[in-house]
Amino acid sequence: MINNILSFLIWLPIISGLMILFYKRNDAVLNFLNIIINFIVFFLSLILLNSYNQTSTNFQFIENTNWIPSLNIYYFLGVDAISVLLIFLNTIIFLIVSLYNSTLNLKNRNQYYASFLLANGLTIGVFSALDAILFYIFFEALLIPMFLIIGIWGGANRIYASIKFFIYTFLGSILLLIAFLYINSSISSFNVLSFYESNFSLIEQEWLFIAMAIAFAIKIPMFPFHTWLPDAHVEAPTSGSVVLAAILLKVGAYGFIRYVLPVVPLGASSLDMFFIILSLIAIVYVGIVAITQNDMKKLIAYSSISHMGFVTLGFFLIFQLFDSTKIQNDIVVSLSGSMYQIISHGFVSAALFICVGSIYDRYKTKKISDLSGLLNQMPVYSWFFVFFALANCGLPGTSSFVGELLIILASFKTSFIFAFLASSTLIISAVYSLWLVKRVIYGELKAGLNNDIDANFLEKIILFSLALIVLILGIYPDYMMTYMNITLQNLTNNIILKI
Amino acid sequence: MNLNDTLMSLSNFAPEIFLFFMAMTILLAGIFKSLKKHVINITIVSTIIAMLLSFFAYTDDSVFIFNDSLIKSNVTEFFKIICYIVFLIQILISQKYLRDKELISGEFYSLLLFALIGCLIIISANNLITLFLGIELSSLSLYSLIALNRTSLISGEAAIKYFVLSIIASALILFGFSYLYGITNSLMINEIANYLSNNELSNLYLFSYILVFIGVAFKFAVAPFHMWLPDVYEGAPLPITNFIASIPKIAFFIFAYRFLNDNQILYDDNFSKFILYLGIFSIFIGNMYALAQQKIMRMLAYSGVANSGFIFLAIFASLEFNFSVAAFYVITYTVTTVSAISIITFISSNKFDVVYIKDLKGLSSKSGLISVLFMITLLSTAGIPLTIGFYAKYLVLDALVDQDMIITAVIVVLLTVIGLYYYLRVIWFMFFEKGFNSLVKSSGTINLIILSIIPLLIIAIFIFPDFVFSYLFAILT
Repeated sequence: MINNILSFLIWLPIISGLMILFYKRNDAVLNFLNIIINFIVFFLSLILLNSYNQTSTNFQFIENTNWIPSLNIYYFLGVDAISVLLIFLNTIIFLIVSLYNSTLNLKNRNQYYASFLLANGLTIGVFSALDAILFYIFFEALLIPMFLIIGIWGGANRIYASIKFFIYTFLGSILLLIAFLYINSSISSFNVLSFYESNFSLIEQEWLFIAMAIAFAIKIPMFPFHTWLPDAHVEAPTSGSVVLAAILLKVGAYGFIRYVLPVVPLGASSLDMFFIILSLIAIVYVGIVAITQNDMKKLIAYSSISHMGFVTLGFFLIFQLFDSTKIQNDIVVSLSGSMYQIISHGFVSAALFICVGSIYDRYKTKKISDLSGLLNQMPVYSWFFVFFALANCGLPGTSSFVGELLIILASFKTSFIFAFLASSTLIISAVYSLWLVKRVIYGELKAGLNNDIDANFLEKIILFSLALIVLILGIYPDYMMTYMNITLQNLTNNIILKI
Repeated sequence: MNLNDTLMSLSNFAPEIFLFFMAMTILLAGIFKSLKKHVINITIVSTIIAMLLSFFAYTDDSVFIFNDSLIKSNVTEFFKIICYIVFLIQILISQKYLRDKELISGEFYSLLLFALIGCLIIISANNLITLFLGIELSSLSLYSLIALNRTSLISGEAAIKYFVLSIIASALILFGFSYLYGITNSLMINEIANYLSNNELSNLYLFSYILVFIGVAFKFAVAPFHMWLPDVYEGAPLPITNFIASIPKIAFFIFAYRFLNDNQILYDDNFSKFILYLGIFSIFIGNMYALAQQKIMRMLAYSGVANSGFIFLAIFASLEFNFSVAAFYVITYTVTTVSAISIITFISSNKFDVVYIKDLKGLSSKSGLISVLFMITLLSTAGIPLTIGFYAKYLVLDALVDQDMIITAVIVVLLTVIGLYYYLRVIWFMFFEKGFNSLVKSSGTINLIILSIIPLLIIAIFIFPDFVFSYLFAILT
């Protein structure tokens, strides 16, 4: 069982999701089933987290079967620390979403749950596939449940948003397919491990880099490719937004760290300035855009883009770091900062979207100008809202601080300008987060806002557990740092050897 | 030709001969009122018998029959069996529709069978004359079938358009044939295709091949020879559209395969570029025009134009590989189209015709199963993973990339992304909008099961594709 744990993690939610489609009689039973399945998946990922050997540089829990011999495609699964952490993030978020969903009033509940279970399994597939085509299949199939979630259960403008989401991401991923096919045509393998050993010329690497980077930059999303995200977030139902922000954006980041940096480091290093600048634009400019938003979901969406800018900054700084300091450890610091930011943003943005979603459920508005003084009616909620808003602006003691600090430290070693621009986020994110809190939570209660239901028991559990995770990660970062240290060092070695 | 040969030939061609006699019988039976209601059952039973005959006579060796004018091999039998299956699905699904439209008659089914026999002859033909007879047999039957709905103006228009353009195509093919006969001094296709192994490529040979393949492009509706397709799709009764969209494509694929397999002309730059540019242009035109369509059949028609372009690209790619890429594409495209049109046929009824895409709005609330089946079909046509359509597109792209035609591959995929929009639009009307205004009869359990066959296969073959690839690779090498 433990040897096939990845297959279990992938197929259990997918198959049970398909089965749940045929049951629609009793909502309570559905809620129970959905939570139980997600809990089992979470438990499996806990086993995975626990039994993963942190001291080894190899991929573990490998399953390798020749799936399509005539096309040279393998069913090849395996994880390193990066994948394990992301799978763990994924299963926690889906467990929380399943808890949150059971408090909602939904039409076609079984289909809704089935879509989320499918998305759960497919994302685990993305994080554990080590065959490029298998990865691509999971990567693209993941669009279908998300498309349906936004399109069927979304807001008023859901059709536009879902189509834009689908076509935008499909555009990127199909370029990725061409890149994979090209790599295969010269090394005749789709195996990631042989991708790492490939040796392409500079010009080939540059083109491969462009094709792959566009795909993942759309997914993350990076600055000029980000326009689908605010639409998708605003129109998606709350749980859809949570999954989108906490999981789907990370798929793009994972793609960079798994397929771009180690496979085409030469191409990446020759074009890295461009991507650093785009990341800085995302951090500063998109942060300023976030300040001006009047829709809470849109504000958090832009803040997500801005935070993901840190992740890509951390990724692309490594080449500058290598040029200026030649110290391997600096590169590891930069990469760990990005990884920390990925995980931390997963929890913080999920919590913020749940907060906003709950406000929307109660007051039927997401407009900041319609809301004021919610503290008077929902003290518990407001407490959590303020907490996560503070976490969002990187308050020391919360998880976001660690990642941002590491990346700012790394950028100081390359250039003062980068560091200056990157640290400006501490102010900008404080502006939009705290101003949001000031307008929505504090102040006089606006007339016409009538609601005296504070967070119910389930919501308290959800928000409390998220807050706890954010605090633990913030106060005791060492566990995760050591967990992924060996993997990141190995990755750094791979990259340095090739540039 | 002695008696033994004749008997051998007859036994090897038994399914088609049997079908031919049954088509005559049905034509006769349609005259009598008491027998008229049985014509459907006779058609179904005789198709099944022919399919079984063909299935049990399946062998791996190829034989030439009737003085080498026909060929029977594992390739022909495999594609014939696919034709039979597709044909069966079509006539089973179309019963309710035809009854609603009062189109059921002896001549309908008999003409349909003649069209099928024509396509089967094209698949088997090894002689230019026989081949041309097959083309004309299927085309003539189809002209009259399109016009069968006598009260409909657009049916008449479609029939005339199809008639005129198809005649031109046939004339071009015949013109090419006459040159080929003049050059090679042979009517046998295998000798014509092998001609270049002993002789230099002459301009005349190239010219006649291009004429023949313009004819093929007409039949495949590859742009710029696609003008008839949208009108025919829109005007013909849905079951006939279903036939035109599927079985002739398989037949003409085999036609192309016979003419090109082992033929040195594929390595000729002019000819291969001709095929390639037609393919790319067709993908462009198909996707661009499909974007603007409001009517579902016209949308499917232009999507068909784009897919035919992909088939031409796959034929181009068989330079380096063999025809299995193209064969897989043709089969995938055919079955998904049949599935799509069958679903539309099933939803349409006497009171409610699905004409516009927006007529499908809210279908999912009325019948979740059908909309999921339709979604699977559309995603497969678009080439999204979890459906076999993905492999079809994948193989074509793989072949292009392997020949260092990266730019072409990128152009093609960008056009595919544009094309994605119109498939998604159908899905959005089905799932995201409300208010379906017709009564889908949930009574047809058998029909629902038949409709589910292809979408289930689409997903099942996605998960276990290897036996299909290795089989196609084996028979087409």
